[in-house]
Amino acid sequence: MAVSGFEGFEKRLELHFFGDDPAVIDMGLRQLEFESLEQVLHAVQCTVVSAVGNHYFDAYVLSESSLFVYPTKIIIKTCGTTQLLKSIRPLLHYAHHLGLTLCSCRYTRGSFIFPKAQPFPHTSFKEEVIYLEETLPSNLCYRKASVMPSKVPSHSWHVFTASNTNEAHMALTHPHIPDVLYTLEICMTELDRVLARKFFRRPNDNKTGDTAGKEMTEITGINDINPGALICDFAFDPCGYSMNGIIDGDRYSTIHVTPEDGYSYASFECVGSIYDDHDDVVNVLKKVVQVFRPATMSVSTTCASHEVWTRVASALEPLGLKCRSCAMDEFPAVGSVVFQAFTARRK
Amino acid sequence: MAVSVWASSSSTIPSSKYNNLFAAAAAASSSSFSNSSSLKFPLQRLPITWVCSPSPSPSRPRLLPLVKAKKQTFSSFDDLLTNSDKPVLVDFYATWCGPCQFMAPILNEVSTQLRDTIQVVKIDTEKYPSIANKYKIEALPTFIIFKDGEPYDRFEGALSADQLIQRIENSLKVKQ
Repeated sequence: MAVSGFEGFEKRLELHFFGDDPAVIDMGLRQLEFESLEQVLHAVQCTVVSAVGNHYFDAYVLSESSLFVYPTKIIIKTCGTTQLLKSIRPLLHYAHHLGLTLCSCRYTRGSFIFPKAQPFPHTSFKEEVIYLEETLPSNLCYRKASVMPSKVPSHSWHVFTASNTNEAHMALTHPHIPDVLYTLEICMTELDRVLARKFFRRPNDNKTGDTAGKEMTEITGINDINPGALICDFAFDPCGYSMNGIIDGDRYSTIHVTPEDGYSYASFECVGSIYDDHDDVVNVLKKVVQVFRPATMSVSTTCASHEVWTRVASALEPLGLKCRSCAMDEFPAVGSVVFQAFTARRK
Repeated sequence: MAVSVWASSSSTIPSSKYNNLFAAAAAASSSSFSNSSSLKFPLQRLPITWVCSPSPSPSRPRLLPLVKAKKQTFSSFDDLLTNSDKPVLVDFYATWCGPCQFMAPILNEVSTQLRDTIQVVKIDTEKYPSIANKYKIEALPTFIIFKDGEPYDRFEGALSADQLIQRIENSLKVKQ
């Protein structure tokens, strides 16, 4: 393991808002001027590298991961030494001006490979929780913080949620939504070295990050994970890769790769529905493993129902990934978070 | 590391934690906006075919009838394409789309830099839904390079000035 290097493990923040005026929540946060978003990102020390939008949401590839802006939901995922939690205050400020109020917050992350390199408040989970406690408005009165362990020491899962209700917040205002979604967050370390080489750019290739990114998407098979998805990709110099995928209009997927040996890391995240074909998530998991062949992989499933996480192990075991541990916890307004860790059987 | 729990234990969590979009779409269809930027979709998930515009009624906007006034706009766009002495880069955008705002200054810069190579035109997909419809615009921004009045190259998503210039130059070079 290297002494120091780029931190691939991301911090992820998801904020949900509500508003009284239907005209406001129709486009909601998407009405934020781009300059305002830039201000928020500036607070986090990252910039937009690529972006695309559609009827449902805007997706940005950042210099350090991704940003998704829906009318009443914003998801920011950043890696490296970004101070992600510093985005909360400016976001609340801008949202307030749009007539939107925060109703829930969810902060998750794995374990840092280089924890000592992290700036305040990310120096420890305790500091992060204190910062969140101080920053979030008091109407979010149901709060919970938990570290979900695993039998793999380098992979554990930190979760903080805060909400103005103990129930899934959607139930308050819109009880007739016919869908139950889950979020799948996958962290992979010790990537196969040969496969990781594909995420290095050739020196002096005279390509833009955009074009090189597109090539990487194709040669690695990432375009095959969700065929038909609209992909926004970017290859960093000298190595590294990020992509956002827009699938079926309102769903996203996102992949970020730090390929350097010694601290290699890749993440995959996507959204699905419990009403999807059962094979869908299985196929996605299989393809993700084929792209990276990690020695260690942890999967976090967040869902109001308990159906999805069981499919994860059954998808991964045939690929030689043995489930080492499984932890489950319930969080207000978010539902169940199940955290499973897998390691590859060595021959 | 153990961290204390503040909240009480969770109760049964009812069905969905998904965002407001479907409900917002349903709610929107019953209210009227003069500057509406939303599409009124029925509640089930539809494959998206485009992203534009205001429909005065809650009916599916896919069947927007072509009105004479719209035809005029349409044919003037056609005129522009056929009569242009240079290839035309068309930026399909919407005012409410963040990535499109991100592109605005970049497009200005590229337009100036490549003024001898290409003509840059911006189409507001809300103001000209029939044009956006014709070219099946789904993602924003979508760029189409037209040569001799016909679509020549197409790409979606915002990009930097360098990337856009490179893309335009490569596209026009290779296919010549």
